[in-house]
Amino acid sequence: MFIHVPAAITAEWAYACLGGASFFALVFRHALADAAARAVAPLGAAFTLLALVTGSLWGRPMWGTWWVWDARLTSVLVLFLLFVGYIALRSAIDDEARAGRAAAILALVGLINLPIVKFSVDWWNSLHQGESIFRPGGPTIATVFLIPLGLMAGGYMFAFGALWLVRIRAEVWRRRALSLAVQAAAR
Amino acid sequence: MTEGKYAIFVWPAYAISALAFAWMLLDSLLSARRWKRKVAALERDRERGDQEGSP
Repeated sequence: MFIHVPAAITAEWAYACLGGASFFALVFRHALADAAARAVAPLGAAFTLLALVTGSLWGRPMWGTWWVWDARLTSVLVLFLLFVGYIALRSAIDDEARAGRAAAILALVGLINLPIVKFSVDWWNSLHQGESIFRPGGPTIATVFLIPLGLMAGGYMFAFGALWLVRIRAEVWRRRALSLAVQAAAR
Repeated sequence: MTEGKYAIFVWPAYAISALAFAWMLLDSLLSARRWKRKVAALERDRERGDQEGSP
């Protein structure tokens, strides 16, 4: 619980960041937002895969199965595929500006999956437990579990933020290198 | 150890998480370092070219 739940929360947050950055990149043509979107996708994919794998390891002893095609698990798998699709789409188009726009549209369309992930356990019958932290009336988890869970979630989010900043910096340097290489070739 | 029969599920989950974090950390830091060096090298080349081209 202390690694699966933080990974799942971070994965959803990462997609919200991808959607937000894609919006600014697409609407305002903001280069840094585009760099931020490109930088966050691999992290989001990693956290989502981590949530799926650790959830499967939790599900086997609790539910008696590694996987079930219920709404929560399937919608998180779709989240993972959206991250992978975003990365693949950016890599598939040579023109970086066109690739950025196409991937941003995909990311924005995929935002519809976020509330589906969040409310899937309320909308459909599911083996997955219902919402027990961010719910009206407060968390239903005992404080002795809630505090370490909160600390782990905070640690995951901090790590995600730090890694994202490092990757944005790397992406800015990559673009600078490409620009310098083009200038050198034009001489 | 108090995980008992669940240890076979708990420890792999921690191990996979550690591996994922190690990959994210190394990939991010090495990529940043690689592109920073590339930019420095290209800027050095450009400065050299400017000096050679100047009268």
